[in-house]
Amino acid sequence: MRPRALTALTRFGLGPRPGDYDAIKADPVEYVRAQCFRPESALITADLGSTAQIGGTYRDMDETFKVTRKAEAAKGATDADRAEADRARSTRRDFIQASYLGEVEARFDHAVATNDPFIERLVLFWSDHFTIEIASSPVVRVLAGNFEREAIRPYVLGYFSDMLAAATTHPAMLIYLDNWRSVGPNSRIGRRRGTASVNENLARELLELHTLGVNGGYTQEDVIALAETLTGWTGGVSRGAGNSLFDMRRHETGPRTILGKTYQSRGQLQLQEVLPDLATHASTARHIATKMAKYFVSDNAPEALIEELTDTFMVTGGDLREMALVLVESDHGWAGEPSKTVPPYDFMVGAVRATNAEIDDPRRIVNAARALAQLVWGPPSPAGWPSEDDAFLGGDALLERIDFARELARRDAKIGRAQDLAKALMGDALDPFVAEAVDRAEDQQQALVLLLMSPVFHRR
Amino acid sequence: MLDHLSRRNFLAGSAAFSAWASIPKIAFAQSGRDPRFLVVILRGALDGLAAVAPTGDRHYEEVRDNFAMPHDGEHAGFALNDFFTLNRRLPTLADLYANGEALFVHAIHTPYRSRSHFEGQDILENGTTSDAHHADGWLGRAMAQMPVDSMIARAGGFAAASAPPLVMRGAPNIVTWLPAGMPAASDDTRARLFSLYEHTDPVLAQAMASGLRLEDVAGSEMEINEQVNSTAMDMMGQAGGRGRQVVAAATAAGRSLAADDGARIGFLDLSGFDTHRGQQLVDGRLGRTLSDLDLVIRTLKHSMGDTWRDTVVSVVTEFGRTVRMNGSQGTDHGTATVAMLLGGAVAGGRVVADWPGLAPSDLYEGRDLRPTMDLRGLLKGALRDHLGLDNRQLGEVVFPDTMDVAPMEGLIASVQPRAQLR
Repeated sequence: MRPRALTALTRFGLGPRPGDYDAIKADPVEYVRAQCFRPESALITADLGSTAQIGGTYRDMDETFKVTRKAEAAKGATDADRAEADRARSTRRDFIQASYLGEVEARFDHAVATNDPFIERLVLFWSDHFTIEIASSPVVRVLAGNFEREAIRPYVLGYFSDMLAAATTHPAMLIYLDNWRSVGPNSRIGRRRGTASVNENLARELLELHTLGVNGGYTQEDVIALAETLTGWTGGVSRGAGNSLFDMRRHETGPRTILGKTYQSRGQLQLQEVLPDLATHASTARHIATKMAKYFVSDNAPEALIEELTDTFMVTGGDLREMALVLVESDHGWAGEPSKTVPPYDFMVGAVRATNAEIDDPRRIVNAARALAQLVWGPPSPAGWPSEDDAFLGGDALLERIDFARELARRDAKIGRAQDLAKALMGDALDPFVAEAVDRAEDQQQALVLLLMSPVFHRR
Repeated sequence: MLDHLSRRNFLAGSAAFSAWASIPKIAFAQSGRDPRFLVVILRGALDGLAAVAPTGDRHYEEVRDNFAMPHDGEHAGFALNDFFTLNRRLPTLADLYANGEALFVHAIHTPYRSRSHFEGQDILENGTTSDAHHADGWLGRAMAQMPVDSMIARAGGFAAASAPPLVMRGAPNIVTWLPAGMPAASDDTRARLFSLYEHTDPVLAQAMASGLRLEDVAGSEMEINEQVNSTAMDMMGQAGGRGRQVVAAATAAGRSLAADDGARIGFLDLSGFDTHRGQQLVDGRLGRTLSDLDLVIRTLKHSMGDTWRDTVVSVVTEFGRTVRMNGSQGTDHGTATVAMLLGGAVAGGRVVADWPGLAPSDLYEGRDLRPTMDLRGLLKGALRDHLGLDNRQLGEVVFPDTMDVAPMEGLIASVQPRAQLR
């Protein structure tokens, strides 16, 4: 059985830093619990731009790109037109890439530096719950980091309903799940086009993934009604979708009945009445509670833990701090052998935290995350990354992790002796087999690779 | 694996050397040689008896049993004289030896007498008798002793490493460089990790086993990529997957030392010599690792061009291995081993040894090759006659408190005859 102090640093953390183990050994539960009262730890303070700033810049570049491309393609286009188009194309491309790299770097650096890693784990959980995919469109790539900073981080110790509202109405989500294309047939633009229709994508995922869960008791009629409520929420970033978050000209007005309750026609306010009800629904409570327990503890998390989480969600109206506290204060949260695989991104963060390494170029973070099969904000579907106990262990996954550890060991790590580091990281909980492997390594580099590949960094 | 492209670019000679281009060209006063000196550290403890086998010792075949070097057949080595035979996997070194450019010194060791890799490597590099000294190393102190207007002082050192290695610390001017990309970890590292998982985490052990099986079937990314690129890389020849990294590092070191205004002192290291298991002379892990060494030397010589004649490469390791094989076809940590000086400036074509013998009573602590020479004497001899340091600098600063360890004589070839040869 892994000692509680090590469980605190792994199951409820991002891996030990030198000295952490001894510092928290006296009261590991309190170490994690206290973090839950520091919500500001979730925030990235670097000035990376607001949604409006980034979205506005992107929209302007995109507009210029569109105009120059048209001129380039027109009859009688000159060399100057072509040069103009090339310039606009590369300006836009560079901005997309720089935005993404800057956000990845800020996120990674924050995770490496934080003294409240449990809060960062909550960020990773909720960011994955409200998944977006950078590959879906350039604007989602541009806004991915902003989405997490503005729609997720402020709420991980707040109320689920607030996070739900922020995530649902963020341009990145509205674009990723196609809501910006959704036009009410009877809206002003819908009537003009004559062929307009509602896109159900966001509504369906909102019910199935974000709130009630797949068996949460909703019907196809509920999906359509919610989709109609969502019409007009364009995000204001995509070309030709207006410049404001909500565009009344696309909104399907009229009362909507969702899960048996009727909401009057109130324009954009209608959604703001629907979401809190979805957020506090009993099915949502059960869905979120189950997901949290399985994510943090095990696929076989005790039913008692899931029930306690469900009850807490219901009683507190979805207070996520209370949910986190249940995880931390329940003995069930600490029980059992480590059974979750540490995902590649968390491993990368943990390895850097452990070795005080400095990865100076964010492209190396992006490339390594890709090689380890967990591209930042690049999950395979709206359901997010797999989180089963043995996720990320297939194929040659571990061999790739070894290569990452080796690269870190030979290039970036700032440590003295690996044996000393092993003790500083795990104190009296250092597994004798690990200690022996580190001791007997043929050089410091190999010793560090073996240490970073030891189970503490890969299972929790 | 990442960034294959950047490695190819490097080998085409592009961006990697822009640092050198920005150093102002310095005209050096040519008086005799413009010496180049490289240190190659073999990490993990090279088995001297497998690299340069004392086939003339009457106890050799008995102690090495089935792992003794055969006299003929495809695994037979290169005879150096009537007593020592060079491992089959070191053909470049055999050629150098035949050309008088390789010197082997056997039964040699640092002052370290325990058997920890880390302590042994620290002492090998720091040039003291304490593994607690990490401030600087003997090569760095030697460089710091050079006159300020010398090429060595002005152009400094080149280390194929992520940070200045201990041996070179203390030098005023060091450039470090590593090939880009994530190199595959060695089979040895994988084997150790798999064994660790077997004892600690069956889920990880199983996941790793399936990954290894997959790679067996499909070939590693590195291997596949290498096949694709093999035509672009003649130097790779028969080298294995990790040969790419080795070639890149040695090419970088060689080119920088060959440049008119480039570094004069070089460093690189190789790992994988800790052969506790499966140490077949030619086909096993040691054979592959020796091939890396051979490849490094071949690449260095090739990339250094004419400056090879002014070059001494010292190849050293932290200690040797047990004289007898262990129960898993390998050898354990030992004491004395072999060291090498290679290069056009070496008075080579010889094996230097005060051979202690392999009879049970001859062995150090009943198990290891007994050290009869001090590695510091070899290094002092090379530094004095090649770089021009004096006995006091060597005995008090470079290797502190070693005035009683005499520099070995006659290691460096005189300039004139070689110049006439070419």
